[in-house]
Amino acid sequence: MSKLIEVKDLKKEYGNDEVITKILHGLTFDIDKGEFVSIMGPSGSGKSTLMHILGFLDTLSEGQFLFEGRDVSKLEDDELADMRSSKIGFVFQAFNLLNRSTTLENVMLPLLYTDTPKKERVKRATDLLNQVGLGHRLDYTPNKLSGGEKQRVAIARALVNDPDIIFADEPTGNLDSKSGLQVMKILQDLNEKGHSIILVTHEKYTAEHAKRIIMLKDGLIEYDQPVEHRQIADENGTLIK
Amino acid sequence: MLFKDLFTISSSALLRQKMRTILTIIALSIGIASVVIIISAGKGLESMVLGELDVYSPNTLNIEVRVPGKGETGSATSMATGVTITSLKNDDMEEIVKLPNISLAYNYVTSQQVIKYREQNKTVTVFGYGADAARVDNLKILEGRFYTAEEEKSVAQVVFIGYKIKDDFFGEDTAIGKSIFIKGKSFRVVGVQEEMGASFGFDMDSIIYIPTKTLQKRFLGTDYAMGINAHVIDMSQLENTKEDVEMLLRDRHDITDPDKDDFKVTTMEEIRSTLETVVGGITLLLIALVCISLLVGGVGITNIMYVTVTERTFEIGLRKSLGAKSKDVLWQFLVEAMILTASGGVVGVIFGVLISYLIYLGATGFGLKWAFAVPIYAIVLAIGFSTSVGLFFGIYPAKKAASLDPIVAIRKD
Repeated sequence: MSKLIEVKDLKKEYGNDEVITKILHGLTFDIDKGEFVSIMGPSGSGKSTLMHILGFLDTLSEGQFLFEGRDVSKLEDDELADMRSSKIGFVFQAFNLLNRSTTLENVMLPLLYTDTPKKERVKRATDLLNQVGLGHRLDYTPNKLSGGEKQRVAIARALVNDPDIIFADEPTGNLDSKSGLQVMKILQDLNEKGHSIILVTHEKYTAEHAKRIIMLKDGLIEYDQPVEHRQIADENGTLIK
Repeated sequence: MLFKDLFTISSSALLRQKMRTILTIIALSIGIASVVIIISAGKGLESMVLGELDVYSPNTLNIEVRVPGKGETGSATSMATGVTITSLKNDDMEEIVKLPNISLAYNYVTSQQVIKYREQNKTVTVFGYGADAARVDNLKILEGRFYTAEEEKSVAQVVFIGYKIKDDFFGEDTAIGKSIFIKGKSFRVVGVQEEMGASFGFDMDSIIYIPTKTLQKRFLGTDYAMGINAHVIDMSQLENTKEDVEMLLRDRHDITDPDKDDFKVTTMEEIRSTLETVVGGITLLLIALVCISLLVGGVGITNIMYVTVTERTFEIGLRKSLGAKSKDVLWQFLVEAMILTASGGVVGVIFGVLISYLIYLGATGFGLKWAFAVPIYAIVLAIGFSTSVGLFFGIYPAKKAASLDPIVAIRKD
């Protein structure tokens, strides 16, 4: 399988002249296309920072980060924005939808920055909302949707650019367990269809829906291994296995 | 990012904050409306002032006495200080008429006198005008006639009266042939002037005209005039004719240094352009003042855009995390500011034109010769200026928005 992400001795520190806070102390791992990886760790372990760097929202301090063989540390701001709009899709814990825009508008949002014609935008967003079972909620604003529905809108938005990889940052954190399982089911289905997924979570149970877990602790990798007893969710939100 | 999308995003954001948007547009439109009103009123004022000149024929060349060496203000100084220049003689006028490009001329002198008809007394300005004044100034005759050259030559006691004098003294009756008394001397009314209204604040209907020589000999005991008006035949030769008059008078008054001229020759064209300059200057000054209110509106735009950017930090961060470039965000907020200011411009122009029209109605209602005009440049200036204000004052908040760090912006805790 071809390499999607190659990280070598990645370090990240924040700070000014007086105080320097080291977050990541040198991480090395690869992620192949089609993988479903959980990045796990307690709060303060650096998992959010790692996701921001992998998601082109932040830059690394030291080390190497290749995306599809490209050295990301050499990219300018606008090129990073291009990468965000064409290579990745984000699903956030707090959904991060625009509350005053409709479901359809929210899903179309990333396409605004890709010069996609309006007709094409509407078609793709509508198709995806149908796929996540919200085809009947196109002109609803998010505040009329349940948490689970909101997260499904967010997933549709993450998919609209046909990204190489989907980042899900605590996607079940604000959901009841049934809705959470529905979201995990969608992610697992997407992975079955060939989408690469990186799931960031602090819960072991949620992390075990992936196929591999990278465990972070204090800015270092504690372990990096396949999931032995994988959790499989079904679409009704009940656990099959 | 397509401009159409930018426009849609920005305008729908503005529509969500209806009250704020409307208030900002109003604040800006006041300034814009003021600019339009000032420019339009300036045009109206100009038309009114220049309209006053219409009573004079453009072919008229005016020669007026002045205090030598006092520059442009000489003739005004001579009037204000009471210095009397006695050098402009009746003979000078007769020589000027002989110049090739001048067909007619008359000299004039004015005086305040009490006139009397039956039991009524009235203090009026007496215009001692030569007989040719009727043709040089194109005087409008309501009834009767203007006095003749023969009557002037014979120092006849004849009078041509203003409309209000006729109205006050004679009412509906005819005035022709009746006698009025000036300082006890009987004058026969030969004609009545049409109603003229005021010219530069001077009531042109409460005056009487008598021959210059009659005024000089019967009342003043002098042989000099305050000025001469001459009619130029070929206007293309106006400047040459003006020089001819100056040479002639210098020669006759033994003046070698033009700075020591005891007269000043003015063409109607010069008066017109002087007035235009004055009105233009006043208008410009007022526009400069009004620009302050535009500036205030502009600062208001900056303020409101800063508030907007701060309120929408999350939206900006989200957009950036989903692939928006800094310049996409910059343009989004710039376009928002420009839609605000351009709307303010359009609203301002509409109100400006409406109010200018009301001013025009009011002014004409008061009998002023006011013209309604909104020059295209006023509208272009107003809208252009307001949009530039949007760009200029919107750029800082937009830059702030564009430079937001998406991680900070979307962090919810």
